[in-house]
Amino acid sequence: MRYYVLTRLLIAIPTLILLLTSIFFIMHVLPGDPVTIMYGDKYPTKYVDQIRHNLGLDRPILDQYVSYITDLSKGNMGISMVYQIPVSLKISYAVPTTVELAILSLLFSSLIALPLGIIAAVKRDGIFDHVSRILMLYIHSNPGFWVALLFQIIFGLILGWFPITGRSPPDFNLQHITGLYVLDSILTLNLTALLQSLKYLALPVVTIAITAIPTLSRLTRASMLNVLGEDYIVTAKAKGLPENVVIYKHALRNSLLPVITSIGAQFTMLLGGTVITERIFSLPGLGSLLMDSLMARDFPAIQGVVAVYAIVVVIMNTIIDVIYASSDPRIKY
Amino acid sequence: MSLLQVANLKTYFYTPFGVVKAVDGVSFSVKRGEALGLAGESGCGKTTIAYSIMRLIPNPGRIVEGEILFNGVDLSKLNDEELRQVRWKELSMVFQGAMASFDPLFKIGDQISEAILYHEKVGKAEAMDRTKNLLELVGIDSERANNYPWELSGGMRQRSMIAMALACNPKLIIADEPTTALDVIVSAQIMELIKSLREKLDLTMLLITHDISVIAQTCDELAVMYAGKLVEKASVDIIFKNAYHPYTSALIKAFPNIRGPKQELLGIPGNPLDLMNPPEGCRFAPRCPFSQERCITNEPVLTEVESDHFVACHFWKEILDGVR
Amino acid sequence: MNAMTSKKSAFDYLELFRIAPKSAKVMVIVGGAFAAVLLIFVIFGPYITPHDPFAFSNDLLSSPSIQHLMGTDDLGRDLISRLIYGSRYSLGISLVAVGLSLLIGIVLGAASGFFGGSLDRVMMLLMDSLYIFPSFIYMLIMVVVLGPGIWQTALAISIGRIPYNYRLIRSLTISVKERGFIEAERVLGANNWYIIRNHIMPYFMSVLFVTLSLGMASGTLAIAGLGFLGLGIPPPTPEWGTELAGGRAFLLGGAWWLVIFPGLFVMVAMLGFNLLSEGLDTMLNPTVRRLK
Repeated sequence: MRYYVLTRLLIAIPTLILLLTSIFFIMHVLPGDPVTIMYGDKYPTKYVDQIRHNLGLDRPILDQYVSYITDLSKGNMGISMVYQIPVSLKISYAVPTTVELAILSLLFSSLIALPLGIIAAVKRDGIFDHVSRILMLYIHSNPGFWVALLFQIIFGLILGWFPITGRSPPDFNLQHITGLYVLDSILTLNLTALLQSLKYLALPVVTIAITAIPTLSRLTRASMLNVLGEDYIVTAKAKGLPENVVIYKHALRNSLLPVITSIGAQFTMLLGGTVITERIFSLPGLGSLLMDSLMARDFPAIQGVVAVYAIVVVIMNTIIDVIYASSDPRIKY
Repeated sequence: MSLLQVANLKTYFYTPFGVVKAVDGVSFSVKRGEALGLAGESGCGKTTIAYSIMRLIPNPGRIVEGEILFNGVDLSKLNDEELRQVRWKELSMVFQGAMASFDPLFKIGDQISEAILYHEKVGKAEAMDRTKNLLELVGIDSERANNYPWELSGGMRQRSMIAMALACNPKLIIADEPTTALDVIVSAQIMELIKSLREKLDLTMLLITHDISVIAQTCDELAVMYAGKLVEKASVDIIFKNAYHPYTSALIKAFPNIRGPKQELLGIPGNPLDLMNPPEGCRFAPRCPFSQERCITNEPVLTEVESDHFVACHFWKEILDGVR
Repeated sequence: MNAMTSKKSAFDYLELFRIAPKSAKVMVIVGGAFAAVLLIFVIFGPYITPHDPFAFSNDLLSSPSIQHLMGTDDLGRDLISRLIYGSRYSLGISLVAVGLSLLIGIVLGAASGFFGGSLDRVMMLLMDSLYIFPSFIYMLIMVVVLGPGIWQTALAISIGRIPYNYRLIRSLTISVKERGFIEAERVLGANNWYIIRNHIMPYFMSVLFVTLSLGMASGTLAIAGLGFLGLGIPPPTPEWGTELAGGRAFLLGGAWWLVIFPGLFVMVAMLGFNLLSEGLDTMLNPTVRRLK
């Protein structure tokens, strides 16, 4: 098992490099010259050429690639053109927000979707099943930004239950350990901060979770139905085991295995959704940073943020794989 | 003394395409300490009977009529809680296809102990002890209790299934095609095991199979089913020498004989019956070489024609006497 | 009508529809209706709008009325006309993008699945690593790097979807390849074209329809998302997401229709395509229900 974890970690690094390489080359293969596109309409050609030279974009592609990778491995992401501070520094401020948002959304959506799918499967074709399927289809059709706006309007403006922007109130007082407000407030036993940060995260988290819940619950239901049709469930019933033991001990564990893998895919989707959500709720995370950098044509910052997204995604997938391997005794490595 | 008495059992499946009458009025009994073999071709309803007794019939199937008396208690009328008490403790089942019948995520020792723990008030350690003894009993090294089902060979899995079925010392064991998924050699070993266990533990057994040679080896009585009905039942000694029902004798003749003259194997011509629209008369009539007009219009009733020998055929005597 | 003796292709869509469960029929009909209406908007948009989508008027920020069914914006432009006209962008571009990425996905996926070997392994490695990255972020960056515009947006959306399509087609190809019946058909003397037309294509078709429909839903969503962020299609083009973003500014002033209606358009489009794909999936890819 330990061997598997090690192997998996080792594979993660080439995967990451491959990912970054692919993105790098796709970007450079795309038609049009990014510098001209981004700056050409505002500045004279000579100036544009100078920018291109400063960014090192007039070197041969292989050169650019090599320095990109070597710099990255040293943690050097260049200097932000807009803020004139190292990109890595700027990113380090933004990462906790997004990570906290993504993880809480994942947890929340799992907490809701999994039981939903399980109950729908156990009580197949019952009222709950039909209603939840229709509901999920409807919810699935709502775009994320639409839900975010509606929530902002209804729960924030009209009802006033939740704040509509930001991560924390002006009088927020919390000792930073990880940068994840919820985690830090738990670690420092700061109840006020905990409640405050949860209040501010409530709407964004629910918004993002809503985009993941339909798919996840559908999958859970399908997996559970599959498992309930297996022979060993009949054996369990024949043994005279109580209904809830059959379901929660035998059926559940088996049905959750494919769901774990799916959670990885959902996380990726969630991460994409954080961009718009951070914009709408004015959260200072990676998504906002990406948008700002894109708007400001801050090349190094854009590259840096993309690299960080890649790292986050690869780490998450590795974690999911390890969790899966530890849950299924059939995996040997 | 009958341990199990099935009376006029009818189990139907209500499918979107129609009602499938899988078991259509079957009656038989099994005496304490006896082994009854239930034989018939695929789809004749024998497995459905087994599942009906255990009350494991899946949707859209239902026990429509009849009684299943186990020690005087009608199993077909028990509610879920009462069933839970009876299952595994009083009667248990060895399933076909032991691979899929074990939960792949749990070790087999745990799965066997699980049965013990839920039915008897014993501690985990004692349950595991008993489990290990059971494994030894069926010829498996007790260390195997720590293995997962997929780590064992087919034969070992089947033995484990048998061990699990014995876990709570049931009075009756139903074995559903215990050897079908195994190769000949392992199959023979399993049958030997079952035979010796029966003797050792004085088990009552209902063995379900399409392979009558297995029944010949291990059972006391043979009951033959065709298209949801019982056509003949008698002791194994008598029936193999002298089957009264044409289907039974055809079945026996279809099996090769190692000794004796080399004969061409006789198959049974025709196709299996459509259980949604069974005919009015004898169900075997379309395929029976001896069928008369009466066979097509009147359904024969299972009657005790001699002591402990039941047949459902209008002309069994005539056929026996050689009169066509 | 015995499938074995029928001379038609193995897939008779009308028959499949007839025997589908009622819920699937409803979904296909309702979803199909939505999609059809939207398609009409895409094709005939400019001709059926009540007003000129770009014409200013003096009715600034007026709430929905008989004259302006969905109200007007801050420049007096009729919203419903703008939104109908905008279908060309939100949906039309999605159609092009999805079609393109499906095409590329089919070429790459089928080649990969069919030929196997090192080609397959290299492509899988590549696609697997791209697959785990959030596609919306790809599209975001590409749209900025390529610049605003219709074709640029279409290209960005289609590239973002390629890994998913590739995987789908590849696994499809492999499962078809491994199925015994291909060999059986060969033994019976059928030539390659016959096999492809009567056995492989129908199988693909049913999956393709569903994927296309799903792709339309997610493509429209992506375009609207990009538009909302101010990327992709530049104003004054009335793409739905762009309109939604624009309307946000006037929300506090009470002009709810500028936010609600664009959002509803997106939602209805997605609902329609989701229903359609759900219904088509049940209809075309029936799985045997375990009777347990």
